[in-house]
Amino acid sequence: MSNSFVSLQNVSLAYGKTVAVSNLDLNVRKGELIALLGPSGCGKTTTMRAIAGLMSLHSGSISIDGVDMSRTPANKRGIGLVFQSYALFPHLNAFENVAFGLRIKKFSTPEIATRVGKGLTMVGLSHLAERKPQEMSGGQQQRLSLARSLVMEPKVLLLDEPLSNLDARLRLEMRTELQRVQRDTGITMIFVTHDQSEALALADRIVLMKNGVIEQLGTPDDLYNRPATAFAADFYSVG
Amino acid sequence: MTSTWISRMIIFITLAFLIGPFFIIVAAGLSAGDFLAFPPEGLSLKWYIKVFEVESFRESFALSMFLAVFGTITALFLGVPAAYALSRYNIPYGETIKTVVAAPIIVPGIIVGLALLRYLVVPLNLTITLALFLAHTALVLPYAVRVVSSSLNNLRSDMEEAAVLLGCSRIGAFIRVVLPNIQSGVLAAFILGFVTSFNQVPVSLFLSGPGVRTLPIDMLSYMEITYDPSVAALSALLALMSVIIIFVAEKFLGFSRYV
Repeated sequence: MSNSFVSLQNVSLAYGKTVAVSNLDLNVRKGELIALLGPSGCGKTTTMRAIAGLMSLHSGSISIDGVDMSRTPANKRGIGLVFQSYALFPHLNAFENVAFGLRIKKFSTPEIATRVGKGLTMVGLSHLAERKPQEMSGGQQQRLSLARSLVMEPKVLLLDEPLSNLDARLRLEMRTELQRVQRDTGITMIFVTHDQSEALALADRIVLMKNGVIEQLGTPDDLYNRPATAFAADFYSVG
Repeated sequence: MTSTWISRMIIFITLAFLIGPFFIIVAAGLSAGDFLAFPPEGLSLKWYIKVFEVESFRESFALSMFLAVFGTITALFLGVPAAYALSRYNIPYGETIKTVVAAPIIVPGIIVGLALLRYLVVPLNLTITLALFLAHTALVLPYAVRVVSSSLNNLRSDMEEAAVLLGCSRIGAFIRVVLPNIQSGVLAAFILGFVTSFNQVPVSLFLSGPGVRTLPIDMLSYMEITYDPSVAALSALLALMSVIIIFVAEKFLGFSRYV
């Protein structure tokens, strides 16, 4: 696919001798919002970690924007990741959490202040800049974690179960928030979820996985109305 | 009612055994007489003052301080990375390594001291100070690894991955994210190591030599010759030092969480 921005070719991943993902091909277009969907143990999180560079490839290759990233270390890939547990730094306040990556990249102090200010405003946390993460609610921590990744202007933003730790009301709010951020920034997003309704509501396209292979790939409409396999049909009927 | 009375008695007896000797030593040091005795004969501060005038006490105090401070710092330089590796990576024989590291806690000090003397100090012809320094570092190491490990286990590893994805190298993530979050554990390990090293007797007993002694060993040999209350006064001062250190540590670090 010529217009693919993130491209996984024939990717296999393994933990020791246990194969988690085998011969996976996936092409994500620029600005697309993709959901990796499937039950636990299907290889969706492993695939995401491989794209981030936190896991090395057993075989195959990953390229982003036409550049082969298969051997590029995680800190040089320019990819953002919002962790399921948020992974915020408890010793730093909200401002410093967001500034962390900018300081590593040696941005000037005024540039950092501007970018962090913008980032915090984007997620509606500018009034809490002095707060430590552990003094924030789950929803606020989630948004802080999002801002911390966004200020780096990553080529791709990965989100690991971004809504699973939130209560029902916040989950809806955060869904809208994610779509708004995606629209405003035009950033390519790939998120991992086990919740079919979340995938249906958010994603442009859904990658349904099972036992380390892609079961079906298509728009929410495709998957909902034209499930390719019994597994796909069954998976959706639950929601 | 009887059971309350019995449990109170047990608490009282426990406290009496734990704290009682401390009061006896403080009181014995306050004696005006010339011999170590309890109850003291009259009251005077002269033995507390004499402690500071005995030259060998000053020298051995300095040596003990040196060993406690630098031995513990060295142990931390070895122990923090070791604890990190053991808690983060799936190291072959990791459990075995942990057991070996903990050996100085399990093996009686007399045996450690004798073994170090017979198989390390004598064949290599080490100086007494160097031998003591190595021994104290080794003795403190298990505490450093244990205490730092427990605070590392409370720290989620995805925080380091987050730092790496924000552009840090692995070492950068350790310095910027891991260290700041385990610093109270490291400080707790330092204090525990310091007190352990300072009060250490059996190993130092084997390794001390003419003119080079740690303070506890110096006190022992002083008592063999001079049976005056100054040793009691010195013990009371040292106990007081330990109490103050632990008290401050508990107040500011919540020390008891780590030990």
